[in-house]
Amino acid sequence: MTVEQSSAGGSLGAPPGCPAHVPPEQFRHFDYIRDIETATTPYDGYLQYRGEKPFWSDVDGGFWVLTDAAQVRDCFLDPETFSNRNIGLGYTAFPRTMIPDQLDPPEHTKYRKLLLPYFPPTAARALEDDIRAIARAEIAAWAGRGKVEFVGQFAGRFPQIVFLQHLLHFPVEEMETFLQWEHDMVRHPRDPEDAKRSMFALLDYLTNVVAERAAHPIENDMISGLLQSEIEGRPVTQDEVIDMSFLLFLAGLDTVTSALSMSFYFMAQQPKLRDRLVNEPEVIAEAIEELLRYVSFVNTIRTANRDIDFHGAPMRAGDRVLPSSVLAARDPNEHDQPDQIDFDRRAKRSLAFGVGIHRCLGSHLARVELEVAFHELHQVMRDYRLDPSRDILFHGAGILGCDQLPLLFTPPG
Amino acid sequence: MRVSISDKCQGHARCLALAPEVFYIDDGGYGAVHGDGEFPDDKSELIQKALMNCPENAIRARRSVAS
Repeated sequence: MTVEQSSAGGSLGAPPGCPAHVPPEQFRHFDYIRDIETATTPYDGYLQYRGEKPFWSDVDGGFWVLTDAAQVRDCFLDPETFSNRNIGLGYTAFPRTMIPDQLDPPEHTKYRKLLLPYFPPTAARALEDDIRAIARAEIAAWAGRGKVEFVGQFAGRFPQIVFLQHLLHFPVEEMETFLQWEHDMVRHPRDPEDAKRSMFALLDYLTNVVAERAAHPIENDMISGLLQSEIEGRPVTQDEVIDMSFLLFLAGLDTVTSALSMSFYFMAQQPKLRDRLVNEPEVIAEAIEELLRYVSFVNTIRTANRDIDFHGAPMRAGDRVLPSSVLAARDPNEHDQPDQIDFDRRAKRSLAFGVGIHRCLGSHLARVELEVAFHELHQVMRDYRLDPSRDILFHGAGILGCDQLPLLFTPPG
Repeated sequence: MRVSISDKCQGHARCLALAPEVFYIDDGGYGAVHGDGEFPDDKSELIQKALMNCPENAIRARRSVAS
């Protein structure tokens, strides 16, 4: 026992590793990677804590986990108390600051304003035909086979192609390399050497691209546009654009993959809902909102700026906090029957894209990608189900998701 | 019915998806209300739905006082 450990009730009640300011009854050993991967679904790794007060996990240096929608909302809506300076539990290893996600106001505000005009619903909708062409080409590659490894052959390729071709204008031929970098940093961050190597490779790549586009701008290209814009009356620097591009790369390449694979994992087991998506395509847009709630998979990090008693958690300045979108999405005080997927739910006020000043910038693009994918997929694999002969693999960490999802279906006649 | 959007808006665009006759997204990426913000009662169901689905609670709607 060290002096930092709790002395509440003498030294008896305090579990080893429990910091002095954490009440022993709020101390848990929650592994946000392993517990997720070994649970029946990744969600069970979080849902076992539903109804508890915020608790402290001793994993990876320790952090608080927020356990309901009110806590998560209050945290996201108070950026003065909860800083974004660190958005992961250390594994992305980025030695610089991702703009604007790792900034707090007032710095955050000016960069956010710069980026917002690139991501309105109209811009996303304008890409719909291109997105549909990409989805159809991807589906056509396996539609006749009656089976698909849904992550490797669709969910882990389609949004990436859209993002590389239409947002970043990076060569799609190098997608495998980009995905390797992304996965090393975001999916399996337990090997810090892999994460570090990929982080530097990406940083080198972005540095070259940004220099190249500063010299030779591409038309209708976000990176070129950002390089020509101003902030507080001075030109945006190449370094700033690199730090924005790094964030866009990380955020754009894995999130829709999770939304698709998790949604299809559940829909493959609920034939009535699946049939409705097939037979009533007009329900798809709102069904996606409900599924985004149900499969909420982002578990980002905040850092307390001051000592605060937050919903029963005695936090100290510097404590890291994980506002779990999973526990917020399944909070019965926020949603009636939260474990039911109900496309007709009247209020789908989910926290899937976050709330407050860091609300996901790419949400409108994500929605169009999901809508197009749902429409196209449900026309081709109308009776999809899990393939009982093959394993389904999940991953935990900051973005929960599926590594492998084998599905069977009757090929279109 | 008088509808407005407060500065809590972060541009989720749920209002646009549910009630495009009432809401749009402005050039800065934030929600806005068409015209003078005054809408007939037959839009109140749509407006109510948008209000319930706003993640930021940024929409305000109140019954207009008859003149």
